[in-house]
Amino acid sequence: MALLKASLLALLSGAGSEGPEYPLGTLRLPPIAVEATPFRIADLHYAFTEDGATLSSFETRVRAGGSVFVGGEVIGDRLGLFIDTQRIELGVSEESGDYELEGSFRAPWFVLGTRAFHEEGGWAFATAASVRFSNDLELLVSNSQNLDESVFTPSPVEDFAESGILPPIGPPSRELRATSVGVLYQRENHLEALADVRVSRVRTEAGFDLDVERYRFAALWNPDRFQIEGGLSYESTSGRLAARELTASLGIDAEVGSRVLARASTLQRWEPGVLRFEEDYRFGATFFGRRHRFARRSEASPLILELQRRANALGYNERRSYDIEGLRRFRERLGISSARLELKEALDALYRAQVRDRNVPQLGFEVEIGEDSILTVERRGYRAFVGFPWPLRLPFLPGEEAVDFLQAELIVRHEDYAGGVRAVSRELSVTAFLNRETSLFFRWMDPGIAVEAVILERSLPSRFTAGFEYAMGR
Amino acid sequence: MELRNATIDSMGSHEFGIDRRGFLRIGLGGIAGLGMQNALPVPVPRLNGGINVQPLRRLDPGAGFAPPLIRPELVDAQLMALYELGFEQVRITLSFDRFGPDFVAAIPYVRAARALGMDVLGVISQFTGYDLVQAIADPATRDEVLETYLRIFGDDVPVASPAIPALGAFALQILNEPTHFLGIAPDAYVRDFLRPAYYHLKEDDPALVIVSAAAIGSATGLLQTREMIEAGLELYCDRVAFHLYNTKFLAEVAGLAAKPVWVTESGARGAANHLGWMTTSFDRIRKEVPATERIFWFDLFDLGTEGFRLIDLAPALGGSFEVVSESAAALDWLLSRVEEALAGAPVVPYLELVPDITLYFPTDEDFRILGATSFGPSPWRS
Repeated sequence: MALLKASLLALLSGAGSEGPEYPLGTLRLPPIAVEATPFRIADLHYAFTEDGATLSSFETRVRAGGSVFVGGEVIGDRLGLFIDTQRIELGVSEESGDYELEGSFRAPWFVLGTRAFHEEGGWAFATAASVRFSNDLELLVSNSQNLDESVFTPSPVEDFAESGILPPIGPPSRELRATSVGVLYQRENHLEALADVRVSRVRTEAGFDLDVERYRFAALWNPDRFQIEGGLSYESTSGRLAARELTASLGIDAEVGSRVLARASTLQRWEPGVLRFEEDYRFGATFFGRRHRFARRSEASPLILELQRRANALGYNERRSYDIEGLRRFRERLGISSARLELKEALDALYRAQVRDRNVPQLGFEVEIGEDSILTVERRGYRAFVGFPWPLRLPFLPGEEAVDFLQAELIVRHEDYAGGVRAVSRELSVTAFLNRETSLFFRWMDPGIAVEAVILERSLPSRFTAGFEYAMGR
Repeated sequence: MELRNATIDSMGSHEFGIDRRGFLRIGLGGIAGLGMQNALPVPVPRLNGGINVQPLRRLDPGAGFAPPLIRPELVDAQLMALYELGFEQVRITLSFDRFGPDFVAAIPYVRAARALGMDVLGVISQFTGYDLVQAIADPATRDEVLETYLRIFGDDVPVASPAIPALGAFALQILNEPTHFLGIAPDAYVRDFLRPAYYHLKEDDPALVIVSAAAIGSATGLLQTREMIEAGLELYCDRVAFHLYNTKFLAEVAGLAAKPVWVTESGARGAANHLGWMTTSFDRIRKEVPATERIFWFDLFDLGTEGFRLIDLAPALGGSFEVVSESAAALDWLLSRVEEALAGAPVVPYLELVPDITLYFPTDEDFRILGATSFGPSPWRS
């Protein structure tokens, strides 16, 4: 414990610092490729939630020596343990008698992972694999099986007459088995495309089965100062509830000047020849204190490309990733590989580039407008965001030295149902980044009076969450 | 055949006059009997399927609780039309209204229709507001509300005459288009409303036929119906209901239900389209949705101007009502089927079967039952 405390204090004090200034001092270069002697904290999360019931969650992960991460979590009644190396990841967790086991193996040309979980009805298994043909092309395969094939039969009326207790409802519709095959193609940093086919058998809550086929194509293109992301999927259901369904989504992010990012997106779902039953439109803009950079067009992006190709040449079988958490895991896995010393310079260079590329949002808004015909609900959502950077200054002032510090976000959603019921929910969150790796957060959510609450004359309590998060190398 | 209209005054006497406005042709008994003077009169045969009927108390909406609470002439006018048009089944809303006037108004319609040999499908529903669904969702009031429905409407009444072959059966439908009117999600309807209602009603009367709510009769309703069926709707009902105002999706509807189907609302807007819908479209529904057992035309009369009603009820002198034909071709067709089945036999007139409609009105015992609930007593019942 004393060792962990000393380690944490050293991290928070910014030892070995060389980056931008945060309230806790100059950002240090995380020792991603450096062996721990014997332990080093990689993650430390604590959160406390109150919504009528109290839930505490504690998650931690430490690096042990040069090539292993060991983690544990206590989230309410859930206990979990995890061990990760560059090639093997193992985990086990338990909650109220339900178990979950997971494991994966990363070979030079494939990754195979499986998860098994046991609930009241029995065991279910999910296996996923990717086969790497090149740095840019992977074949993706998955299969899942639920061994609980029981069919729900409601209790006879006589039982109700005897007990006076309303019998329980059946289990929700669930997949009995599913198989998918797909291809993921990543062309350099600017283009990514996924195509897959998935077939599944669903046992409905009513007890009969449906066969579902889904064909999907999704792509992301980020040529320069804008990014387009879209997807199209076709789903065909056969059986009692035979139906065909199309889902299309399109989102565009465009830089307006150097510090403003505008975004517009839409999602449409419809049954051809029958009805468009869901539509969603969003638009918004964000002002950044520093010049905005898309992750795929940033200074870090050529380093990501280069490091992934180098890692794969060494047999580590890595996929390119661009979000902060994905990049962190990418660097961590290579940092515990046997070639970590060889890759250290490149890993550190990538982290430094990520820090230089950082986006610092300071003002933003987003509007959502949607409609769901099946539920006969019209939705409106409004999101406002304000961020005060460090060194502290007003949110509408630019500055290239800025880093994230205080951020506040307010979301208000209206749902207007048939019958004249309006459900209003509100969320407020405040986050303080003490540095890039360390933050404190507070969230409050008022679920408002939902339509069910009006009918059932029940009110839902507000939820407060407060927490601390440390993530080394974030 | 001569067209006639009926005027029923507030005293219960009846005058028949020559139609000059296309009034509904009723008084079949006298006409049909002309050719077979020596044959015994028979009740009008029930052969024209089902129809939706509104449980009107009064036509003046501002009347409130002013007496009379229920105008006997209104009940008589609609019941006579139902009888003479040969309808087999009647669907009627039993509006909860916290067991108030709208609830009581349905009593004479249900009892008289059953006494005349028509099957009645009562809809446990409420014209406006969330009182009913709150009462069903709340375990503290659920049993009381559902049991009171059964005590008031479920008990048998004597047939109107020994000539009536059998008392009409009674069935209950649990809510009407719950997602469209109330915003209740399709799966929540099955879980929180149909399921508890099914268990409570079946406990009290295992033989009672329970009909699920139908979703709105549109493409949206088709998708809502799928979700209800996926959520286990058929586990908690004896008949599955659809509303079909369009034949476009019959192929999609056809395979949805494993249990027998009652199309509890179907119709076409505009009198010119009524007959075609009643014949061609009803035939298509029966053929393309083979599980269909019953179809209920929407509707006999309503206060709306959407053009679905077959008749209008026009205020006449002395507080009476004239039954006015709004859909002459459809009414002619319905009557021609009745006449064909009669084959010239004389019919028992409605007024002979129901000389006093107030015999089917709420009784003191009804008011005692309602007054003993946690929703009563109320001054209007006294």
